[in-house]
Amino acid sequence: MADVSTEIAIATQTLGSSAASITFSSIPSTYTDLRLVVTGHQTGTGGAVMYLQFNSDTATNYSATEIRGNGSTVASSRGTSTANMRIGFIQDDSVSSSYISVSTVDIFSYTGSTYKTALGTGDADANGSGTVGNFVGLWRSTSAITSITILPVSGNTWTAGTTATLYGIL
Amino acid sequence: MAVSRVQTSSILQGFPKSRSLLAGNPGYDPAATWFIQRISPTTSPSSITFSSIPSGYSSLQIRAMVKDTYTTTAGTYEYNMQFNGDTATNYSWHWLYGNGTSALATGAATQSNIDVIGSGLSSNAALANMYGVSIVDIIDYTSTSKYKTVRAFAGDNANSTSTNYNVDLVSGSWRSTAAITSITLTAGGTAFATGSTFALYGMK
Repeated sequence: MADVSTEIAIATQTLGSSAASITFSSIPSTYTDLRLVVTGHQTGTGGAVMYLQFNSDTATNYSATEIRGNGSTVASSRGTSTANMRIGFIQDDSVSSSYISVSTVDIFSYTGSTYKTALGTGDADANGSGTVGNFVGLWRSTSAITSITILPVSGNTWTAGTTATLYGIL
Repeated sequence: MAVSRVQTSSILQGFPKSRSLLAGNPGYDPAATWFIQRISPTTSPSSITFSSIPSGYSSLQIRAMVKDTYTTTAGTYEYNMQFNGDTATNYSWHWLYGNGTSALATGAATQSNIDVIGSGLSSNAALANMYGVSIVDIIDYTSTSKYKTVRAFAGDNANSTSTNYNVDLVSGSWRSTAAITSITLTAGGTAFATGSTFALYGMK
C-alpha cells in the first residue's frame, strides 16, 4: 500500500489588476482529478456567479444543476446546452468589494475518455445578503482537459487580488 | 533554508529579506490527503469492498466516479454503504438535494445501510459517457467511543431536463463504536458498470 501525499498545488494566480478571465493552461496529465479553489470578488453588478470553460471550448457543450440558499429561501435550478459551466458563487459589486467569496471545484477524471463531471461549491456571504450553494456540472467532451478558463458573469471582471489555485489529486 | 526566527541584527547585516515569514519554509499542504487504494472493476460487480483499511488517519475520503448497469428505466440511482460487514439495521441517513426545479429533503432511520448518494450514480440508460461523481468523508473512523458519521457531496448531470440532473448533500450515521476496517459499496440498481472507479484516501 502506497502512502503518498496526494493533493499537490500545480499553480496559483493572483491578479495584480482586474481581468476578464483567469486561465490555467498546459495542465499536466499526471493526476487523477483536479481541484480548483478561487477566492475573490468580481466588479460589476450583473451577478455573483463563477463559470468555467475547458480547452477554450465556447460551444454549447456544458450543463449544470445547483442547489442554493440566500438566507431565507432554498432553491434549485439547472441549465442545459450552455456555453460555459455554472459552478460557483463569487460576490460582485452589489456589495462592498471587501466581501471576498470562495468557490471550489472538483473535476473528476480530467484526462479520461468519458464526459467530464465536476462538483462545485460557492460561498458568498455579505452580512445580511449573499448565497451559499452546491453544483454539479458536465462538459460533454471526451478530450483530456489541458486548460481551464475561469469566468465571471458576462460584463463583469475579476477584481485585482482575486486568487485561483489549481491542485492535482493523485 | 527554513526561517524560524527573525532578528533585527540579521536584517541590518544584509541577510536576504522577505516581507513574508513563510519565506524559506516548506509549502503549506492544504489537505494532507494520502492515497490508500483504488478499485476500478473490469467486470460489473454488484459491490466492491475496501478491506484491511489502515488506522493511521483522522478520517477517510472516497472519491468515486460511478455508473450503474441498470437500464430498465432511465434515471439516477444511489449506492449503499456498509461498514465491517454489518448488515443489521444500524444505519440512518439524510439527503438535501436539488433536481433543477426544486430543493428537496428526505431521510430514513434504522436502515441496513447508508444510502450515501442520493443520485450521484448514473444509469446506463442516461447520456453515454456520463458518470455520477461523489466525494464521501467518513469522520473519526477509528474511534472506539463514538458512532461514525458520514457526509457526502454528489451529483450527476446528463444535459437533460428529464433524467440525471441532481446535486446532493448526504449525512449518514453508523451506530457502532467499532473502528472501521472495511467499507462495502453496493450498487443501488444492478451492478457497477465498467469504467466506474472508487478511490480511498486517508486524511491527516
